[in-house]
Amino acid sequence: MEIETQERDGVIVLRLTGSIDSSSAEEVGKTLDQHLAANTSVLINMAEVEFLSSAGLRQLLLTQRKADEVGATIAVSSIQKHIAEVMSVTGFLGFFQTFDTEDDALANLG
Amino acid sequence: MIDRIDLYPTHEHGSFRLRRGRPFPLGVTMMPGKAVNFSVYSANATACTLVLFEPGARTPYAEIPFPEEFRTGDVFAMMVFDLDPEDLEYGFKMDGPWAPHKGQRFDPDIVLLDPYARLVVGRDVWGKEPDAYDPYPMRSRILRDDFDWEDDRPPKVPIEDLVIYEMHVRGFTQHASSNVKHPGTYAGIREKIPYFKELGINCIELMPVTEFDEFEYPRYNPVTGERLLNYWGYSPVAFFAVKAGYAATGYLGMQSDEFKALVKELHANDIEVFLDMVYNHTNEGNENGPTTSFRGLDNATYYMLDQNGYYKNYSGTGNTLNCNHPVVREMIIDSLRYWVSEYHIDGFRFDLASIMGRDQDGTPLKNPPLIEALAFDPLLKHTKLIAEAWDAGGLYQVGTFPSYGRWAEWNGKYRSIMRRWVRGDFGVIGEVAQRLVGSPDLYGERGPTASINFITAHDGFTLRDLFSYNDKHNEANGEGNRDGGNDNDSWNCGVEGETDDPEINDLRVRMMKNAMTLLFVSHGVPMIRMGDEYGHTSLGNNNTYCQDNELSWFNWSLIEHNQEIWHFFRKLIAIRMTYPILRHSDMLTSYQFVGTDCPFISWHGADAWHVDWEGWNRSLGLMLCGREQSTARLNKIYIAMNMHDEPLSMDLPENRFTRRWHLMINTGVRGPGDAMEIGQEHLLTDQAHIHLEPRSIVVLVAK
Repeated sequence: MEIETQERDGVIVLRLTGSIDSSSAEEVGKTLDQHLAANTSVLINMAEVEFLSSAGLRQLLLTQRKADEVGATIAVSSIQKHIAEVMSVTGFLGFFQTFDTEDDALANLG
Repeated sequence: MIDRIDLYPTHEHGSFRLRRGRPFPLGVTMMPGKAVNFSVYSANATACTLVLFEPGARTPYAEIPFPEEFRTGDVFAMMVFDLDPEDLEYGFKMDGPWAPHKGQRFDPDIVLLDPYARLVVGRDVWGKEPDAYDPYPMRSRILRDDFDWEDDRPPKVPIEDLVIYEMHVRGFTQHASSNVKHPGTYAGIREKIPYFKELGINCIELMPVTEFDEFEYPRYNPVTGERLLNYWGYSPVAFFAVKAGYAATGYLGMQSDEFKALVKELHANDIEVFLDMVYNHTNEGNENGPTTSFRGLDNATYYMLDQNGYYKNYSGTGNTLNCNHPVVREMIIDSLRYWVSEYHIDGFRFDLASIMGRDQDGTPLKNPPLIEALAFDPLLKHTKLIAEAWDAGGLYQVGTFPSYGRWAEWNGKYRSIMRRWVRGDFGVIGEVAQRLVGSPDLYGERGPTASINFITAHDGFTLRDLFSYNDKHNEANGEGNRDGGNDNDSWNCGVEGETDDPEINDLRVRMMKNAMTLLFVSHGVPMIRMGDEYGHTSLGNNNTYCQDNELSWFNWSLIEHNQEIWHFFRKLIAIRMTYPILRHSDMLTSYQFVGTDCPFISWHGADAWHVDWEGWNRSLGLMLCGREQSTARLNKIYIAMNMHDEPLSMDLPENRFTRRWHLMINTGVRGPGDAMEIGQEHLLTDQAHIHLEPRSIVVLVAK
């Protein structure tokens, strides 16, 4: 799992590459947590995430919950279609604010 | 909060760090600090080994014997530290005597499923040919039961208001005409929720969704050569695991989340979810069956055996689960509590439930501990419990199933007599009268809601086939047409099977409408079979358990084609839901009155207020009268039945004041005049008589 971090238009963009599963979920969670603070916006760009396991999904939802608690805004963009479908049928998708592209997300979050 | 002080390893096995486990709960528990607790019961095993696999690997990467000191009584319990629960499949090996005559069949080479497994892998994708060389084809996996239900609440539909739709998960959307993204899955059903709303269904009853092996029969269709599968799934391998092959996400092990997402959305739409549970037998069959779990864990505990160690067979499938052994009983109760608390299930239908009332030696019990325990279980307090009150060992308990004021029953007598009434049999009128008003002869004390009324169910003919076939035609099942029931009480209306004869087809439509009209005006709880609402045919096959094809699948394109029947169903359901008098939860009688002149129930013949109860009579009028509790509005409904093949005129009971009879249903005419929308009932020009076509039913409302 690689995570590239960049600030764009006042939004912290995290671009993930690889698989989010039980072996990488914790690392993803820790990295995301560092950016969660009141009134910050964090965008998770999942364009390069090929695989999201049950543990991975749960990690993302935990991050979302932490963001809610501290008053940060989280959004997810560019989810590959098959992953979005898994998130949808398992009922997870509705918990996230999602956008088709990183630019769409920034236009809304910025 | 400080951590527990006892969560550190005390033992080692190779590189694994271990600790004596917690015996309860049985199965797997994830402990804080990355330990996983494994706990399994066996009374007769001498030793137990935990077997660990990497997902998909053919051979295990570890076998960890439970140290003797980790056994408490009959429970082996062990914590293993530093396991990744997602990256793991597991099973148990049990050592002990091979002494079949004593009921013990231990084989230390077989990796057994955890009877408390919440996920089972091995049949993750429906119909995917299993690897015949895999020595351990089914394994347990660890599930995170942390689905976020948010504010989900059970709809708590009063039982008298239910319209139960018995359905098959895969069959509902597998047909190409379903146009769903994930055909044949839980997700597919979720896409079709608007359909239930449109039809008026407020409860779906799913045929078994506990894990089973669809490949268990090595049989082929003798005509087409098609591989036959166990499509229905009345053959559980594990009682806590939801069927993976019914999930679009089964290949990811996310079937539990997918199923829960379905339940959550059904609840948001006020639709209840019932499961058909099979606790009478398992997939392991008799002496010649596979050993996947129970037989190898502790055969003598889990199965009813005779004195020579052979399997007693009250289920007709080879073995009988030993339901009233205290340990088995607890497993059953644990699993039901699990389905209610973790999956938010609203009710259960128990397959061959009479077996659950048998003692360990098979004797029927007057006060069966299992059935009693379920009736009074605190978690199941609001859960509907429905017994299929018979078994394959000759026990038939319709009307006498031990109910403790809690259990309802599939009313098999209702099914049989209504079929015979509709097809025009003599000598049934007296019993029909009982069945129409909630079967007071069977449920006088329990009330009509103890009666789940149905005319068709998965077992037996579809509604269309009930009036298209005199005999079953099960050749495609590969059993020489010996399988399936012979007591169909069906009638082909003149020609066996499909026909172009418009008169016969017309009659069949009328017969279907008659049957469903009776069902929806009867007191009790109506249940319909998936597909009957558009007149599905299985071409005379009355036992499609192995037909994973168009014989079974719901064909969405036929709704449009057969819209007359479909709309008739929809309007019937609407009528039932509009008039509380059709859904009364108390047993009504003919000697209770509304006001001074209208009995709750009154019977009529060609002359009002007079019925000839002789067996030759095939016509009957039933008037229901009552005030709605909330509005005190009077409900008065007249149901005129002519099951004779000649037309008939019946006098109508007089209405007082300004009330007039209005027509809601007339099965004697083709649609759309066969059923009215609510509020658009036709005023009868003749208020004194009603003309009934041959073999037809009219339903009137006074307003």
